[in-house]
Amino acid sequence: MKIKVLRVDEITVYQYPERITSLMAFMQLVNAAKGRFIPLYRYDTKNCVPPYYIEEEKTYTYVNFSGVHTVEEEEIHVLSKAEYDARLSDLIETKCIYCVHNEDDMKDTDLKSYRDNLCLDGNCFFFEEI
Amino acid sequence: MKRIQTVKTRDLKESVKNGGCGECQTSCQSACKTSCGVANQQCEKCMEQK
Amino acid sequence: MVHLYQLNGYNIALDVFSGSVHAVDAVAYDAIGLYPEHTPAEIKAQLLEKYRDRPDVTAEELDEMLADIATLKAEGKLFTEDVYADRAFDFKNRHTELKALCLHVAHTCNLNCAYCFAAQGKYHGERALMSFETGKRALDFLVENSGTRKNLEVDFFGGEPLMNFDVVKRLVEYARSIEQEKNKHFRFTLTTNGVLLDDEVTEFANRECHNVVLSLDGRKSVHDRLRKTVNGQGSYNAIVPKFQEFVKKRGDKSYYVRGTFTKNNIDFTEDIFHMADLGFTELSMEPVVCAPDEPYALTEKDLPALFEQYEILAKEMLKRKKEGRPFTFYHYMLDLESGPCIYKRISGCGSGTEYLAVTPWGELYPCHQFVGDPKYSMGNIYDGIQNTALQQEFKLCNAYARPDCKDCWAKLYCSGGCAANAYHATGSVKGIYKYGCELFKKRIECAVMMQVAELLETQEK
Repeated sequence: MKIKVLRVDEITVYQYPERITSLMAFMQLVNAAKGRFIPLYRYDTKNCVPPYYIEEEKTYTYVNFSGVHTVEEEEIHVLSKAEYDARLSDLIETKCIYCVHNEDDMKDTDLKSYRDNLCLDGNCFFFEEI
Repeated sequence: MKRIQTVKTRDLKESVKNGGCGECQTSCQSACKTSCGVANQQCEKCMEQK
Repeated sequence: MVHLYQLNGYNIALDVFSGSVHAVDAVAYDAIGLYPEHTPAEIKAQLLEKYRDRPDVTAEELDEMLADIATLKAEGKLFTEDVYADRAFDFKNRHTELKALCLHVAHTCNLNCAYCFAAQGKYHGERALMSFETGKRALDFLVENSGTRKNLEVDFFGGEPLMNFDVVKRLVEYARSIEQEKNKHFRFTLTTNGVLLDDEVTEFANRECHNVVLSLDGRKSVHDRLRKTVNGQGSYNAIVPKFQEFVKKRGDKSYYVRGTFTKNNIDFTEDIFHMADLGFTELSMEPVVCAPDEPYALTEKDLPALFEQYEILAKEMLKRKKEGRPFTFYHYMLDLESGPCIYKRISGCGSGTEYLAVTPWGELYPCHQFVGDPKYSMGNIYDGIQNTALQQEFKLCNAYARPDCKDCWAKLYCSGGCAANAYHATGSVKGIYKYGCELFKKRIECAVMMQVAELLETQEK
């Protein structure tokens, strides 16, 4: 599922709060908050590679925008963990087999070795063709 | 049989005479910033001569 | 003083005061060990006994070897005397023209790294960005106080310098505009966490920066554990592709991808190899600098494992070089033929004298690690050095001024070590940071071993 989200200071991605559907409306909310904390869901990247995120790994948090420099809107893909892992496994079978860094013992707990660097769009920080 | 092989090195005692120009890089400008990397640097004069 | 050690199957003798390095076999290793306290006849007798089962160890053979040792001693390559101890006091009169500045162009940061020695970029003070006027005055100050030094270094540091990129660009432009008139040559270094690295910064850095230092700790789980945003998000995913793109465009120009290792990753070679596999061939990895009670602080108990890691690193680097996929590790860079002269070896990094840090407000400190400590404020770029006593203290701070360095074989490699580390560990810049010493000695042993290994390898061919 593709959704629009807020990217804060180049790195952190947050779900739009309820009933806010545009960047303009969000900035109005920030101004109205007058430096108070705004509750948001943050999409974590611990077990995924952007722009693909895992729905179950949203964290409810509070953000203070007075120290923030940039807020942008962007689109991301959100999948369930089961779906993310299934697609990751497929990619491992079709792409990683052609990579010099791929080793049999990498299919460890939760595919961590692949999960950190292999994006579901097929790009990988490490890929080096055999 | 040679039991001792000497690696070519800069003679520090000689460098008392020809050293001390001060043009070499300050070691923190490189990649450490937290420990002393003097040994890892090069002599500016020597590099120019090369 | 000769330092003898064995590593990776090599026997190595370092002659401390000449800087000579010898690769020796087991017999010569024993002989050199016995030499200071025994006569040649005694050594010969002991070795004939010890190696009685070795047909190649004969009396004649040992005579030849002992003669070689005597020749090396006569040539000033083995058992050389310390002739520098008296000269070290000449350092009252040594040149201390300013030649490098660490410009803190930003006392703020867009990350919130847990171990930041600069308290997340603010150095325990207020957030600030250096103005162009302050930076310009700092450059003028550098030129005015540099005497006849031609090469001047300016390091853009912080906090995160790219948060003040416009000022950085303008300062470089200004520096270039005065080079010819002042007969100076500026070398710029940029250190960055990568968050704001883009095409414009890349193009600028490749045109103007002699060196660029990119901060990355290694594996994602390691990096993201401590290098997060203030909102708790790891930065690995954001910066790795930027660094890869940057390095591709950097070409042959100097750069380092530099990480910090902590108690969380004692197996830091895995992080170094990770970074090498990401395509970063110029690497550096430093132990964390922090208070000993931090959960990620390195401890005495970790030393044996860390020593092993440094050895693993050296061996792997030799292996990869043979396989045609080498990488550089900063602390293993050792140019034995064109390395620093004795003056540099004794005086060290130049902090507090040739090298100063400048805060966004123009205040001067001995280096970036002292910034924010009021006891170490040296003056400012408008009025100059006002604490001349402090400057003298740093001027005389060298390998020979530290009592703990007296009998240490590594002192001419480390020049007595980092003054800031010594101060934080002992309360005095003339102390030593013992933990740092242990790691340093291990690193130098590994670095020298690598040189020996390559020499012997070349000879075999």
